[in-house]
Amino acid sequence: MSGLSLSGFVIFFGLAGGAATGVFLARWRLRREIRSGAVGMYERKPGEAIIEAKARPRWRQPVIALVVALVALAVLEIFVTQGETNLGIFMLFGLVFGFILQRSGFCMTASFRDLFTTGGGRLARGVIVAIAVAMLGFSILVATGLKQPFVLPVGWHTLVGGWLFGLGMVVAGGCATGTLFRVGEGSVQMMFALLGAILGASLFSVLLKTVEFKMGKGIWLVDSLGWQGALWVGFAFLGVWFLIVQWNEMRRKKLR
Amino acid sequence: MMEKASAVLDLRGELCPYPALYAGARLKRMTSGEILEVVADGLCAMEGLPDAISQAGHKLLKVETLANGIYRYTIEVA
Repeated sequence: MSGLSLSGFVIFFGLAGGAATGVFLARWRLRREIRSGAVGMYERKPGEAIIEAKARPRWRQPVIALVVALVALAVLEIFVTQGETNLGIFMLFGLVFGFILQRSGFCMTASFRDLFTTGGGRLARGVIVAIAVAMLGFSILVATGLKQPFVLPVGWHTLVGGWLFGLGMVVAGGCATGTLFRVGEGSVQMMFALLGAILGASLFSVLLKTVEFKMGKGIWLVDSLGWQGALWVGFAFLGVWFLIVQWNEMRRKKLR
Repeated sequence: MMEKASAVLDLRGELCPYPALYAGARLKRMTSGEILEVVADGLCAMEGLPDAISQAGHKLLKVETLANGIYRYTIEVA
């Protein structure tokens, strides 16, 4: 979407629809568990000790983080001395990216999902800012010829794919980046989600290689509308989405 | 003035959006002024739960760290 490819905007709608479906499933599970009384398994007696006294000491985590950072620096050094500076830079970006994602709790999944659960729009606004910045940056890179535009074919399958991904990310608990940093946090459930994502992406990239480019044409908004028009459409889209997020948040507050 | 909790939920291990959903459902069955304690871990605890609580209009009295990444939320029902 930041590349001003029409497919990105279509996927966005699909994601929102998929997230809504995922939240519907979650609420269905909740209702079923309330009816069957299964929610009782989360109840504890007031005053009962929940954490064992042997809980891991708090100093361990920063030490592990420091060791990981030092190992990463050593690997970076190896990359650079082997002439693979690019790989080293990618890794460095990855490290910083992961740190920021975890600390900020930046999560595409939650940005869509919260709209249907709590109505909270904090992460949705974050995603809007991120896409806006990426859209500007990507436009500058493409316009100056530093990067080729990345345009995917668009058609009904784009919407279906977006919907599936939206549903999947809500059920699994994270999209691509969200899954990664939760694995880093130590979430076992997300390790399975990551495994599934790797398997799915690998299998389908092989399966779909032959049909991929038969599925409709790529539409790059800059081709059809020019730079000015395409950027206007992009920012107008984000603006409308922002208003929807704000309206949704207000409405939920009034409802309570 | 330490109010006594009338219910405690242990939602450790539940991923988003479940902590917020379960806590929300439990809060609905409580009466105004009662205290609910929720123990949760992971990002959802850090982000989703306080958001959900304040969005629903309840009062988050305090957040304690029980261990690395495990938090206890004390909520007063609105």
